[in-house]
Parts: sequence; structure tokens; C-alpha cells
Amino acid sequence: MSVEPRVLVFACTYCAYAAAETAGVSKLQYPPQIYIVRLPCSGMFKSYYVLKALRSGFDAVLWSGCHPPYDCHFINGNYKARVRATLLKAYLKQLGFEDERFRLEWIAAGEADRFALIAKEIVENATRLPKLRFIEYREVEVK
Amino acid sequence: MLVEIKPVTRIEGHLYAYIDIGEGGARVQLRAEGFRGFEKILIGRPIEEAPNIVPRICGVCPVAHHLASVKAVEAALGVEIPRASRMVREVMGLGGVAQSHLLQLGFLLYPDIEHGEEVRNIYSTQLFKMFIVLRKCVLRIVDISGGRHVHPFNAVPGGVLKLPLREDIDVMRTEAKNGLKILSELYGELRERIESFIESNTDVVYRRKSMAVLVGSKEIEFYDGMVKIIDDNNAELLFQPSRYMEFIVEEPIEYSYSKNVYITINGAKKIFRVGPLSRLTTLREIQHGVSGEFYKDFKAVLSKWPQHPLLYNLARLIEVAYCLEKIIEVLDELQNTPATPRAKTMVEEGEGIGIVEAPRGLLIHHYRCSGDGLITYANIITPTTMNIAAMEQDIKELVETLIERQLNNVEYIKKRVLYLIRSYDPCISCSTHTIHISPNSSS
Amino acid sequence: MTINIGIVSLAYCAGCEVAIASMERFCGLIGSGMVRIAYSTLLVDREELENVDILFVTGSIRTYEDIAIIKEASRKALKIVAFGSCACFGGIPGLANTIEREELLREIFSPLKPSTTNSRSKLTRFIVPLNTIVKIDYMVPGCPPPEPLIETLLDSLIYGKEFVLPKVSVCNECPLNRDDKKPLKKPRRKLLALNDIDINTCFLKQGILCMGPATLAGCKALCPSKGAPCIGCMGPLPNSKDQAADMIDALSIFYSVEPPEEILKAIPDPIGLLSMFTLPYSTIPYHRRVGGERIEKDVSRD
Repeated sequence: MSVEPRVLVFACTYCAYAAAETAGVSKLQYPPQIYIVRLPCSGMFKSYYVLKALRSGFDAVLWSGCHPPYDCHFINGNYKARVRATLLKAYLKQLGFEDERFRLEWIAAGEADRFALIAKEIVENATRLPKLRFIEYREVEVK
Repeated sequence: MLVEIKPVTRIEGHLYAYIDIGEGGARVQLRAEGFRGFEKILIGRPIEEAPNIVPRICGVCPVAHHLASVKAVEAALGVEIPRASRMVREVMGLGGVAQSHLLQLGFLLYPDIEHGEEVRNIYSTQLFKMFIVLRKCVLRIVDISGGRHVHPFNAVPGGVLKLPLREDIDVMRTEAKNGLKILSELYGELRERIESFIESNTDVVYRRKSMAVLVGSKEIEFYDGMVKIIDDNNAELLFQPSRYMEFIVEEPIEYSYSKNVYITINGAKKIFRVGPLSRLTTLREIQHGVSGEFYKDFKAVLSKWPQHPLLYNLARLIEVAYCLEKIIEVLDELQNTPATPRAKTMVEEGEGIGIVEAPRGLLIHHYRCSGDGLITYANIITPTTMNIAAMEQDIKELVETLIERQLNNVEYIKKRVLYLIRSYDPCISCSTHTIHISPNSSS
Repeated sequence: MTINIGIVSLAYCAGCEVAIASMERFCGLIGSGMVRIAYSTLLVDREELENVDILFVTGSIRTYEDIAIIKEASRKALKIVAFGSCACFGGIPGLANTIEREELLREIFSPLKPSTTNSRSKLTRFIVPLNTIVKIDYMVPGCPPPEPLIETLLDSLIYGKEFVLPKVSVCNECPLNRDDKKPLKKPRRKLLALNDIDINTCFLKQGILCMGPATLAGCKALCPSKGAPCIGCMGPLPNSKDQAADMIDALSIFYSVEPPEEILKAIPDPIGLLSMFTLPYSTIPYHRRVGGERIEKDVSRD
């Protein structure tokens, strides 16, 4: 059974993913619509992942990494993610996507409650958004 | 009787001609296809990107679009460009006109002169091979001054990116001189052929048309100047490009993706022609050089068949010579001009109009930009759009005359109509891209 | 043996055809009878497409008639080449995918009512790249395709060599100076950078957007070597569909600006600047209102 809406979360392994783990261990509740992908660093989050996620049926995407300035394990991965997210947001806006579809948040390893809170918020927001629908290429041939 | 030409071949773009011949005369529809919507695409784009986007309207005359666009942007931002960069642009523009004319003469018209020979045989004739070599010379000039001959990129708001170095100038000059030499060898035979081609098609007399050209400091001005209108009663009118909206009106056509354009002069709406024929007809003389000699020949032909549309073909040949000579002249001047490539540009709100003479006639680009330098309004009027009404009228006259003389063989009519359309050298890709003027936008 | 070539043009600018016709070698091949142009509205005088060995398709697919034409033509060809960026990726006309079809046509129709005679062919909802309609054998990107690439294509036609596209980016071929010791400037808008641009140094180093890192090689870095930043006409790198996403990643590695919103001043229009030629080819190829929710309503209208 699929749960709607679906939210894809990219989490860096050193901070945000650790926070999600801690949230689980300390039995903090967050919605089941969250799908987490764990990557080494927020500097590894590629813009393509967001486009692909939205295209393949996710309603919203969350990028979560370590707090700037000094938390990043790889020195400046979070800075890269930040510039990327800014550009990507503008790009998505031009394509007619709502602001809530894509979000970047900093979550430190200890902030389990913050992770749960943001997860709840983003799912709530996504529930209010209309379901994404894309016409496939072959449908264009139907007048 | 319905004569259908679908598609019209050996022209640029998708054009379908429908000629419905009935009791009351012929009804002609030229349907342009291949719509892309450039004026809408431009909206929201940074204004400095316009000169990169608009050349893609047309691959035969991209230089003209590039220059008209960059001029409009500069007018909107209020930039004065350094002299050297203006000269480079002039060279680019002249080269662009010459290469487009040579493409038309060589690839599009030449098979007609050779009476419909198989393409292979045409491509192996000596004359055609010389055409290719001549065109290559011109292409090299555009390559250096514009960056690339199809879709150039060298002109930017404020000037040009790269000024040609001394050795580049020498290369261009040599190419232009070589080109002139080849052209002089070609000229005699080609002129004779074109003249006899015209002569065999002068049994129909066409009505006089109004004309619009750019006038400036040179005999034939391509880059900058005022617009001059001469109507069919020889009334003249001169106006600044920025006032084009008062004199040039557009109307949509129900059956086509193009539009009809008219000029208004003394309150009357008139069909008009632009392009090489109008440019050379309104001209008094070319003072010196080879093109001056050629022009005398043209004058003689012109007095025999005034304003005959097939003269477009001969006019093109003369303009090629003129362009090459002017290129040499401008290059000589460029060599002694201080090498400042660009002036400073600022982002600001504004409105600008750029008019140049494209190979096929007047080309108008009109942009408005917001305070952050994004385009909010774009309007482009291309020469073919202006010519379409004249073409339809000429075809109507041609067909009606042919029918009157009992020459109502469909194949024959088709052939004659094609000759007529091709001599205008319409560029349909240019003419189909939403042309839009809203009624109260001229403030 | 003569190779029959057909050139089918859809919504095009003729730049691709001019680019081939400008090659002396191509004209020579026709003159010598090695190659025969069986169909092309620009170059020859034939109204019907006959069976051909190789079919060049130029221009983007804008109307339903275009789709019909290309399907019909593909049955008559042994091999199909998507020639030029419009056929490969949708090209600059593809930027119209952010605008609704009705909106695109509004001004041309007004003040008249929509065409009643049905003489204009109907626009598709959005532009699609050629490979979504028919199976293509080769892709020759570029606007227009660069000469070295056309040369290899001709070689493959005549000598049967396999035609392969490069696998690297424009930066690999770029001759500009990328000295690491030089300081990196802050990203700037091209219009403002123009007057102090140095045409011998990497543009990204000077803070000017150049699509080189996210663009396929093959043009021998024509624009950068002549002083102009790359605008990305060769399309995305292999194994990628999103030129814009690649470029956003690249930019984020180049510039760490503070605050990050500063970068939007340098790139005020991400779609137009980062996917100028490839919007219809990318993962999300249109504005949501063009290919999104309101489809049911629209279908009933026609």
C-alpha cells in the first residue's frame, strides 16, 4: 500500500541521517511518508535527484545537511548544497512548482526533535499541494 | 481550378501556395508554416541574451537578426559603441548579406537558370563550382568578423567581443579581393543568363509597388540610418526608426502563421516591397568601383522592365559586388581606428528599436526591458513578412494574365509562380514567429 | 554507389542545411555523384520523399503535422539522423515549453477568431525531441552542428566508419587559460562583465556564466576560443539528460557566495541560461501548466 503524499529526504550521513537515527532511538514520532536516502555529504546532493524525484511521483523533496559554517565533515559541502539549492529553487519556480516542493534544512546530529518537527511540517505542507501529474511524451500525440 | 504548390521548393521555410482560379479572377493564399513563437520565448530572458537567441529565427540571414537585435538592446540601454566595433559589425553585416545572396543565386535560383537540370549535373558545372569558391571567401570574412557564419555571436551590447587582429584584417581583405576577382569572372556569363531568364518571363506586367529602404551615409546603407518610403505615386517619406509603429502596420492572416504588413503614407494603407530590388531602384548611382560598372548594366535592364520582381535576382548579383567592395573599404578604415572593443554597459529600464537592412530588406527588432534587465516585450518584423502581401498580389496578377492568354496548363502556371516566388527569395522561417503589435503599445 | 540523402525539415531555421551546404566537401560529393540529395525543400525541387538511405531530420516538432510527416518519412529511410540541436533536444524553440500553446498563439489570432478553415496545422501542447517519436540512429547536436562533427558523419556515411559522439565536455577542448593561481572572481551578470572581460582567460574564473562544464564537446570549443562564453548548444554530456542540473552542480562547486541569493543576480533566468537548447529533453521538460494538471479540460476542447 502506498502512503500519500510521499516525501523524499536526502540526508547527509554525519548530521541529518544521524539525527533521524536518534529520532528513531528516542522514539520521537515522525510521519511514515518520509523516505530517506543517505548520502555521505550534502555536497553530494545532485540537482538531478530532485528533478527525478518530482518526475517519478514524489510530492516534495527535502535536503538536509550539517549546519554552516563549521559542522560539515568535508569542510564546505553544505555551502555547495546551499548555492545549488538556491539556483534549483529558482529553476523549479520557473517551471511552475510551488516553493514547498523543495526545501533545504540544516539538522545537526543531536537535533532529533528538529528532524521530527521538520518532517511533520513538510508532510503537512505536501498534503495541501495538488498531486503532480506529468504528460508522457507519447500522450502528446493524442490531440 | 485550384493550383496547389505544396511545398514551395528551393526557398527557405515551409510555404504552401494555394491559387483558386474562378470566374472573378484568382484568389491567392500563401500559407506559411513552421511557427515557433520567438517573441514569446524572449520574454523574461536577460536582455544580453537576445542577440544569442534571435539568430535562430533564420539560418540564412542570422547576421542581420544578430545585428538588429544587438542594436535594439543598445538603444534600450542607451549605450554608444566604439567606432572600431561598429566597423567590425558593418563588415559582418555586409558579409552576411553577400553570403545570403550567394546562397540564393547558387543553390536556389541557379537550377532555374539551368532550366531544371538534375541537381547532380548542376553541382558539377564550372559556374557552380566558382560560386562555391566565391561563397567560401565571403564565409571566411563572416567567420572572422562574426565568429561563425551560421548564428554569429561576436556582437554584444556595447560593442564586439573580439576585434580582428591585424593579420585577421589582412586575411579578410585578401578574401574580399579574391571574391571580387572571381565575381568579375563570373559576372558576364551569369548576367547574361539571368537577363535571358528574366526576358523569357517578362510577358506579364506587374503593378507598381511602394518601397521602403534604409538610407544613411553609404550608397546602400545596411547598418544604420533613417527609413525612407517611396509610394507608388513617387511620394516620399523619411522617418526615424524609432517611429516605425506610426508608419508600418501589421494584420494577422487567417490562413497562415505569417502576417500582412502595410505602410501608411498620407493616410492610405499600401502594400510595399523591400529588399535588393527596392534598394537598387531607389538608388541614384554607385560612384566607383566594379559595382558602379555593374550598376550601370542594372540601370539599363531596370529601364526596360521597371520594378519587375524577377529583377530581384540581378539586383542580388550587383549587391554582392557592392558588399565585397565596401568590406575592403571598411577594413582599410578599421586598420587605422583605435582598437577599443567595447563600451561600458549598465542594467537599466528602457525601450529600444533596432533596424537594419537584412539581405531581404528591412528588419525591425523592438524590445522593452525592466529595471533588472529582463525583456518584457519583444516585437520583430521581418522583411519576408513585409513582402508577403506584395508576393500574393504579384502572383494574382501573374495568374490572371496567364489565364487571360489561355495559358491555363497547371504545370506551366506552377512553374511561373515558382519563378516569381523564388525571385523574392522569401524566408518563411523569419516570417512565422508571432508578430505582434498591441494597439496601444506605441507610447 | 550513390548514397541517397533525404533532408526533412520541421519547424526549422535552415541553419543546419546552410551549414552542410557551405561545406565544399559536401557539394563536391554531390557533384561527383557519391551523394545524391533525394529530398530537401531548401536544396532540390521534389515534392515527395522517396526511399532514402539516410534521412536527416532538422528542426523541432511543433505541430501534429510535423509528427505525421516524420512518422511517414521514417518508414522510407534506412537510417535516421537527428541533425542539429532542435531535432536532438528541442532547441531554442523548446523554450516555448514554458508557455501554453493558447498563450503562444493569442496575439497572432487576435483580433480574429481561431482559424476556422483549418488551413494552419495545429500546434502540439509542447515540443518533444525527435527520439521520442521515432527511433533514431545518430544524434548530431549543435546549433548549427560544428564542421568537424559533420565531417565525421560524412566519413561514416561514405567509408562505413561508426559515428560516435565525444564523451567529454567543452572544457576538455577549450584553449582558454585556466591557471589555478589566478583568483576566482565573484559571479557577475554577463551584461555587467562585458566591458572588462578578458577573452583569453576561462570565463567561469572571471565570474561569467559559461556552459562549458555541462556541455558536450565536438565543436573544438568554437565560441570560447573566439571570445564568447559557451551557451550550451551541443547539449548535455552522455549519461545525462539535464544540462541545467549539471550546470547548477558545477556552479555550486565554482562559487561559494554569501548570501547564496547573490548567485541569482548573476543568473536571473536559470531556464533560459542553463537549458537554452535542451529544455524539452530534460527530466521535467515543460512548465507545469503546459504538461501538468489541466490536461483533461484541454483535450475536450479539440
